[in-house]
Amino acid sequence: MTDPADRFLQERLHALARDVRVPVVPADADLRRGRRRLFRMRVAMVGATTGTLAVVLGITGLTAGDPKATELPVTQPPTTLPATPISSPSDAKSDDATPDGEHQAKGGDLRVGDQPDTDLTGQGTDPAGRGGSPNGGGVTGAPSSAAPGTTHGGADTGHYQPSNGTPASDPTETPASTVTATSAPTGTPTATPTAEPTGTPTSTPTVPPTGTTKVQVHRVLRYYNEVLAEQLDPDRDHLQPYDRAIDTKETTRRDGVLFALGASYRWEAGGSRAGLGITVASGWDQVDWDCGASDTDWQCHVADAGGVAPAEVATHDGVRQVAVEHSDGQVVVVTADRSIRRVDDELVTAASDDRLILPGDAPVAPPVLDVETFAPAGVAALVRTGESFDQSSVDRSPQVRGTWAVAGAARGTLSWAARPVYAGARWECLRSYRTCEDVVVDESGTTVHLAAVRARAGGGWVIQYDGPSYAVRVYASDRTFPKRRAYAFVTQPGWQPVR
Amino acid sequence: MGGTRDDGFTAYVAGRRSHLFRAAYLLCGDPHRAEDIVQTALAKLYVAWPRASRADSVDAYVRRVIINSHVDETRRPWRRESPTEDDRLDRAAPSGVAPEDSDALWAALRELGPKQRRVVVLRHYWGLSVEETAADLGVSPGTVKSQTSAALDKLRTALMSDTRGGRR
Repeated sequence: MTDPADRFLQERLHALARDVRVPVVPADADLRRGRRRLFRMRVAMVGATTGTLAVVLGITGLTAGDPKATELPVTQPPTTLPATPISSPSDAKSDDATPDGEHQAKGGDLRVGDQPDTDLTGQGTDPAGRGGSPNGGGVTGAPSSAAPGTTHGGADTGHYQPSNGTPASDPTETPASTVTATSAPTGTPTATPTAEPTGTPTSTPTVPPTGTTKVQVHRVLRYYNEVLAEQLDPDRDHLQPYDRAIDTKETTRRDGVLFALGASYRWEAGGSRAGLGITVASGWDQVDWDCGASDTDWQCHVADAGGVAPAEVATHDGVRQVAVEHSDGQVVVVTADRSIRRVDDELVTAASDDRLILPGDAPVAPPVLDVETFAPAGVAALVRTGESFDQSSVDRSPQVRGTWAVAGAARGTLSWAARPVYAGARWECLRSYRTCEDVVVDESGTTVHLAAVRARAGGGWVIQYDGPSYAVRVYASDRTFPKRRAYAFVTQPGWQPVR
Repeated sequence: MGGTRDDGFTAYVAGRRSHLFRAAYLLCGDPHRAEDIVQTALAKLYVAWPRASRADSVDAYVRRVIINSHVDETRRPWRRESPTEDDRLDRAAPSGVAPEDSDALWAALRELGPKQRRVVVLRHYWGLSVEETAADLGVSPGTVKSQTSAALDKLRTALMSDTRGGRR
């Protein structure tokens, strides 16, 4: 600043600043502004602290301890096993088979909570049940003995020729057993199974899934892993212990009730890694099982598990799957990559292990309805002389679909289906219905639900009867189809077996 | 504690507000914007009063707040908008000829860019050294020197012409 020019500049700047008219602002005004700013900052800090604390406590509360079965199943990623229904091409095919907007919730989704959505989208176009089927690849679980014989021109139910099974009673007959429908299958798989291990396990399963309402999913999956290791890899050369951070799990839950639980475990052999999956479900409606369906490329056959239970073996998409229905109706599906060198019988034996049950108060599925009985019974009840029914698809949900014709002239779609009510298949009046009403169909007061389907959803009508075990429905896209035939069919007591 | 803060703050504002306003005015060249900057700076000063007063650097704190507020002001989107060609819009009501309007220095100061103007104000109005100016602006001393040199060239030219004009 010794430069005269700089000093001159400095003087001029100060002179310039002095000439500036300074507004008269009382110090109190600045004081008030400062106080307000301080107050806002403190409020913001308190709010931020409270919010952060709430978030931290919330997260801590949600993640503390082992996750329970009551966690939202949608947070679980789908299994990576290609054998699972999610990745099977049959899913895509199922979707393709319902171009009219139907959506069949495959069992592989293992989310019972999805079923209402399925209804919403599906029943509009095919209220007869395709859309509402809780498992598009539905399974009766009771292998039938013959292809459908009374369906006219119907598609073959497939290459699947089971040799034995537990078909439901004749539809025209009342089921013999009508008691203990709600007996808890949650049983106590504690002592007996563990008393006789088949191999030399490295560690004895110590956490059986007992009958409790509080389910610790990961402990149960670890237990399943140990049971499978006993059966398939006692020395633990290949099957890796369950690791919740690596292995995927699947849960199917509805209203807090666990319907299915599964996981995919790591099977390591020779530097390669494969997957060994397991799903324990309350019934066939909760697993994706395409054996017996008309539109599947699954290669299926019946396996004899030494008389313990009827078992089915399916090969598709590079995996083998074994499904076994236990005495309480629960279904165990073991999925093995082809690289897993275990014969079918070993997988069947593993899947038949009585310790593999759903934990907690598991829901009880009704006995399966045999599609080989259900399909012809529908034809007999719904199609009269001079009419014909050209079956286009059938699966073991059970569900039958085809074209109804009168005097050779096609009159539209006719389908009938039955879905277990325990998984939420009861009647809902959907937006795709133009009208809904209840109709009393006999003197005893039996009521069925009748809905007129909007034209854009396929037209016609749908009739459903909610029985104690199954919701049975008939859909006809031709509204002139005689409803009385459907009333008689859906209310047949033979469709309401109880366990 | 509140009383101590209020008393000290009030005393400081009463004694230094006009000085701060003038500095802000030299920085931004607009009395309304200068008032906004000063109010913001004083509000922040009130919040930080215990810390600033303990460090005995209230002036330095306020100076930095004013500089930063001016930086923020120049970065705001509406400050980047191009001025309209129609000068009848948003024009202040005539209030006589302000002294600065007739001052070539003021005109030259307004021609400087924001960074050069800050350097000039800090160094030649506030009387800070190169290092202090660099610290306040968050730049290197070399940058301060180069910007000072460029700014002074412009101002000297304006002042020389003003001086010559005044002598005529």
